[in-house]
Amino acid sequence: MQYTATGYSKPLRRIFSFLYQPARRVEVEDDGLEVLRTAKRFESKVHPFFEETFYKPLSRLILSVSQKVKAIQTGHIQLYLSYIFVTLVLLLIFLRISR
Amino acid sequence: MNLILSIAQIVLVLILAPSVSWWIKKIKALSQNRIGPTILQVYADLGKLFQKGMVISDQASWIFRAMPYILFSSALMAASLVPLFFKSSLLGFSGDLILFVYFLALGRFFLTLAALDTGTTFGGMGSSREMALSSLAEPALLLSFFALAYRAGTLSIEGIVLHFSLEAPFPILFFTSMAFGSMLIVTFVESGRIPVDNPATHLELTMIHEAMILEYSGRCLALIEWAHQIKQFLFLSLLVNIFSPWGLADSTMGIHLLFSFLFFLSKIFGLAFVIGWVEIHTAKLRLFRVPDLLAIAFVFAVISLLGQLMIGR
Repeated sequence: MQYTATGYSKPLRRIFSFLYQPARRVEVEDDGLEVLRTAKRFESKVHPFFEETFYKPLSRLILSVSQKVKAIQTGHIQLYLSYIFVTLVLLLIFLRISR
Repeated sequence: MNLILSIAQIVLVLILAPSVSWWIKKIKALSQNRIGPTILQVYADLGKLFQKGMVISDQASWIFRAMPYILFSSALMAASLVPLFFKSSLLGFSGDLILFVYFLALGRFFLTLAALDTGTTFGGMGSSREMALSSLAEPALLLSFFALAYRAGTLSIEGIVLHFSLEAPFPILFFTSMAFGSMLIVTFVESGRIPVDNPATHLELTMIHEAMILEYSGRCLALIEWAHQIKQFLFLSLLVNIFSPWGLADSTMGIHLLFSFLFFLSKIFGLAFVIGWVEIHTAKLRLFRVPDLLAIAFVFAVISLLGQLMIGR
């Protein structure tokens, strides 16, 4: 019998149970006789802590920002060139003022 | 002359490492009204294992065969970074505390792999526990190292030892004692001593180190045991040399060297006595109580680092 990855990381899951909140459920079915099992179901899961509290808010933020940016991104190359031109002019003005 | 002394220090680690294990065994035996083994017994045990044949499972891969040599040489490389009784060490010019920690991590990585290699459940158990505990012990160790390195202004072990041997101990007593407590707890974990692991038996279901090396025999087992004793010796000598570095030789005069060597020996065996004393007076912790102990070590290290930052250099 070999160790699986889930079994291998069990001590860590238990030590950091306040983060991962591991849950397991075992269901046993029988036809009235306890010694003769007909079906068994095992379920084990951890709470995806970092995904819920870090990655998901981050990706939501990035998506909402990019939704707003989409308004100026039309696909016309002339428009993009004018963006570059406007940026250049603004930077030159900024340079002049800050001197 | 420096080179000869640095090499002599490594030879000394090889020779002296088993004697510290003997000393702890002897203290335990005396506390139980037994006479205990003589000092030659540990060397005889190693010699006996070196002469015995090996039984290796035909399912084992090259990792199983290579692990004892990797473990032993990584312990030896770590040993070449630590100054013992002379101010410099063999590879001290090119390596620092971080390299020291990673040499030990390299050995541990292969140890846990080899424990999984033959596919026994017991090896896997030890391996998974070792990884869980060492992933908690390593941050505590590194943080207390960083606290010391910040004070000394250098990451090299030689530099830190030299700094603390010159600085007056009293103004930094609070901060060094916190770092000392943290490193002492980590030493218990790393050397597999009793509040964490029981080195004396193969028969306990909660053991860690012995569970991983259960498949080994003969020469390989001897190398693993020796490497483990070297690791324990290194942690003890780091503790005594960083926290009581007085008497460290910086000249190559014979009488200075002799004096500092005897001083070093008495410090090492004094600290080993403390470890043996703890082993006599405490019971082994439950496996899932050990993280609490390591959390204490971590908090000590953080307090030491914060106190250090508040005092300023």
